[in-house]
Amino acid sequence: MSFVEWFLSFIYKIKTFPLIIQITIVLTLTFIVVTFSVLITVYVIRRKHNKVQKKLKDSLPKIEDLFNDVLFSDKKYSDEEVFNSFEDIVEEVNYESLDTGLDVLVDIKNDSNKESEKYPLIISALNIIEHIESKFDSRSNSRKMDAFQQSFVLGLNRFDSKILQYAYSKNKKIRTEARNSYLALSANDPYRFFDEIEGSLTKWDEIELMQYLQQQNKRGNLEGLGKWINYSKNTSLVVFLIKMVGYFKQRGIDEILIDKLVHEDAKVRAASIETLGELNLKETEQTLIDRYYTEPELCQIAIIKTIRKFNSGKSLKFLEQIFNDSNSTDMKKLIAEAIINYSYEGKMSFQNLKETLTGFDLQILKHIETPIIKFK
Amino acid sequence: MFDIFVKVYEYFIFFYATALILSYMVLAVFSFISINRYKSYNTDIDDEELLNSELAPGISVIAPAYNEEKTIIINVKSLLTLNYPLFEVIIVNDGSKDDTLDLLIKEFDLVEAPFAYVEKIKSKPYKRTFKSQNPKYDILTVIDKENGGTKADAFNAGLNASVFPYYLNTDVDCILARNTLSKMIKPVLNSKTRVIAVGATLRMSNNCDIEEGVITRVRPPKALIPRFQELEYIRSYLLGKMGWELINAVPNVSGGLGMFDKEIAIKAGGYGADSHAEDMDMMTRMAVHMMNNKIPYKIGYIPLSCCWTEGPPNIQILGRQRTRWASGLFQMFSDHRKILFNPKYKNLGLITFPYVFIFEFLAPIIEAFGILFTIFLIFFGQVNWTFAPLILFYSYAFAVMISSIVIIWDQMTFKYYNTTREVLKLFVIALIEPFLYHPMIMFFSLKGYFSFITSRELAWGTMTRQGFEKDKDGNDKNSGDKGNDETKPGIFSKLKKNKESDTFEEIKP
Repeated sequence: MSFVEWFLSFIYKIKTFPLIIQITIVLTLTFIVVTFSVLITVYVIRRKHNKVQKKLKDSLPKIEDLFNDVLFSDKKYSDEEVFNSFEDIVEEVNYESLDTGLDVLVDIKNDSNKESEKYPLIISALNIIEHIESKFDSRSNSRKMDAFQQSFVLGLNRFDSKILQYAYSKNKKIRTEARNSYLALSANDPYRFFDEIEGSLTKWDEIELMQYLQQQNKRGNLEGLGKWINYSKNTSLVVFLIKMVGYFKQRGIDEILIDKLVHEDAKVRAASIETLGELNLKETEQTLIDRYYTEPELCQIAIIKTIRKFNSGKSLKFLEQIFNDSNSTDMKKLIAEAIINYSYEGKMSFQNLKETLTGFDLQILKHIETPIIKFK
Repeated sequence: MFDIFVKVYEYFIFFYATALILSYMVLAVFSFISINRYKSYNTDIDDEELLNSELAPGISVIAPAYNEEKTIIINVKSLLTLNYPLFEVIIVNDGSKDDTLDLLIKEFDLVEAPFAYVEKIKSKPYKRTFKSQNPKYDILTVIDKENGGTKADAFNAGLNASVFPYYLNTDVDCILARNTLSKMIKPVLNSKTRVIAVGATLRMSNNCDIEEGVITRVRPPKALIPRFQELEYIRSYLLGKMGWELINAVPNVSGGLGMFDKEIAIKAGGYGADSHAEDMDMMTRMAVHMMNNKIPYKIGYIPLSCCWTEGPPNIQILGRQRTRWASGLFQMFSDHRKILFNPKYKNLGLITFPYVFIFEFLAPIIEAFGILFTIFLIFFGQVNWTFAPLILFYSYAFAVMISSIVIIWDQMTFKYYNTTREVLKLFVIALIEPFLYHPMIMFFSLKGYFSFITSRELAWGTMTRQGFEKDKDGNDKNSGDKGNDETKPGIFSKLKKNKESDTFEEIKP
C-alpha cells in the first residue's frame, strides 16, 4: 500500500469516529507539528547564534583594540585607515558588523574614564550617523530605543528631525523616550518638550532627564530652570526641577523657592526646603524652624537635612528639642546624625545626650556614632 | 446510576482539560507579548544610566540563613559582588544550630555592633547585630535571632533591620547575576503606577561554573531531578508569571528572588510568620492592602534569569521540598479563603486565586482521582481501548508542545546555554517529564495536603545543601530533615483559629 493510499484510508477511517475524537486527532497532529516546528526553529536560531558568537569571539577584541588605539594613542589615523582596518577585521562592512562596531564604541565611551576627542573620527569613518538613522527608521521599537540611547552616549545632537518624528508617535514609550531624548539630542531647541510631559514623571524619566540636563550643563547650554518651576502645572515636573536647581546650584530663583514653601503639595515644599539647603540660603533657617511642627514628616525630614547642611550653629537647641519630642525611631536617627555632624558644639551636645539618655534613645545614639554601621 | 456517574465524570474531565489547555495557550500568547515588550523597551545601556545616576534608589538585599554552613560563605560573597550604586546585604541567622554564624564572623571579620533594631513587624526575639570591621564588607549586616521555624519569620527580622525603600528577598543558597538589582528595579522606576513587587526567573545552579560567587558558565543540570526542575522553573516563570504580568495578575513573586516595596510590605503586616508559602502569602497581603486603600498597584516580572539556586539532587529531598510547598499552598487557601471568587478583590479574587486554586491546587487531587478511576474502569472492562491511548497521547503531545514553546521563549529572551546540545537536552527532558517527573510531583503535593490536614508542621530549611564544591560526594545529602516535625492542632482548629484571630486584612466596603 502506498503512503497516499494509507493516508486516504486513514482520513476515511477518522471520518467514522465521533466528533470529539476527530477533534482530538486534529489537535494532536497540530501539537506534533508545532513541536517539530519549534524544534527546528530552535536549531536554526542556535546555529545562527553560534556562528555569530564564533565570529564575534574573534572580531570583538580586535575591534576593541582598534578603537582604543584610534581614540587613546598618539597615532594619527585617517578616515580611510579606520574604515579599512575595521573592514579587515569584520570582512564585510554591513548592518550587522556596523552594529557590533557601534556597540563596542558605546561600551568604550561608557566604561572609559579617559576622554578622547577622536570619537568623531570613528563616527565619520564608519558612517555611524547614517547607521543610527537607519536604526531610527527601523520598524523595530527595540532598535529605535537603542538609537536614542546610543546617540546620547556618543553625544550626537543632530537628529532633530528624526526625534521630532517620534515625539508625536502613537506608541507611548517611544513618544516619551523621544521627548526626553530631545533634551540631549536636539541642536536647536532642546527644551521644546519640557512643557509637554504627559502626566507625572516616572522615576526613570527623572533619571534620564537628569542625565540629559547634565549633558546640557557640560555643553554650557543649561538654561535657568526657574521659569518652568514658576509656570508649570505639572507637580511632578516642578518637584524634579526644584531638585535639579539644587543639584546644579542655579541661583537667582530664591524668591520662587521661598514662595514654594507654602505650596499646597508637601512634595513641592519638601523639595524646595532641601534645595534651600543645597543653595545654602541660611537666611531661611528661622522660617524653616518655625514651620517644623506644622509640616508632615516628609517636610520635617527635609528641614532636618537642610539645617544640618546650613551648619550655622544657631539651631542646636532646636535639634535637641525635636530629638526629645520625636516618637519615631527613624526621625530620631536622622536628628541624632544631624546633631553629631553639627560642628564642634554638635559633637559636645551629642556626648551630653549620651550621658543623660538611657534605654533605646541611648541605643540610637550609639548606633549613629558607630562608624562600622554605614547606612544609618 | 453508575453510567450516569461515568458520563458526568467524563464531561467534567473534558471541560477541565479543555480549560487547562486553553489557559496555557492564552498564557503562551500573553507571555510572548510581555517578553517582546520587555525586550523592546529595555536595553543594557539602561543599566549604565542607572549605575551612574545619583537618583538610583537604595535596595536592601535580605537573605535568611538556617543551618547553611556548607554554602554560606560563597553565597554571601556572591551577594556582595552585586553591581548597583546603593545597596546593603542583610543576612538573618535564624538560630542556626551549625557553624553558619561562626563562619560568617570569621570570614567577614564581624563584631557585635550597637544596632538600633526596631521591631516594626513581629518576629521571634532578635538577639544581636554584627557588622564587619573590614571596609571591604561595610555593606554587610548580620542579624542573629532566635529560630522562628519559618523563613517568613526570618524575613520579617531582616525587614526590620533594613534601611532602604526597596528590598530584595532571596535565599542564601541563591547565586545572583551581578546586574540583578539594576534589572529588577527597572520596572519599579519605569511605571507611573506604584509597583509593589518585581520577580525574575530562577534556574538551577547544580551544573553551573561558579567562581568567587559569580556564575561564569550556565549549563543544564547533569542529574535528572534538577534537570526536570530546570524545565519546570523556566515554564513556570516564562510562561506562567510573564503571561500573568501582562494583565497584572501575577499570583506570586518567588521567595527565592523578589523585589518589594518596603513601605507597603510593612503596612501589609510583613510576612505571615507561620506561613510556609511566605511568597504568595506576602504578595496577597500587599495586594489586599493596596485595594483596601484604593491605591492602584502593579506587580512586575522580568523574563531574565537573575538567580541560580541549588535544586534538590534526589527524590527524597525533592519530596520534602514539594511536600512543604503543597502544604504551604493549602495553608494559603485556608488563610485567604475569603478572596477566592470574591469580586471585591478584582483580578486577585476573580482571576489569580481561581486559576491557582483550580489548576494548581486541585490538579493533583483530580489527577489522582482520575488514575484511581481509570484503574477501576480497567478492572471492570469499561475502557474503550480504541480511543483511550489516543486521548492519553493527546495530553502528552500538548504537554511536550508547551514545554517546547517555553524553550523557544527562553532562547528568545537570552541564550544562557553555550551549545545547541544543551538546549536539546531540555527537549529530551520535555519528552520524559510527563511520565517520570509529573507523577512524583502529584504524589508529593497530595502528601503535602495530607500533612497540612493532619497538621504535621514543616520547618523551613529542609533542603540539605551539597555545596558548590564539584567533588563533594554528598554522603550527607540524605541526612534527613533539619527542622523538627511537630504535631500541631488539626485543620479545623486552624480554620477556627484563623477566624478568631482574623489577622488577614480584609477589603473595606
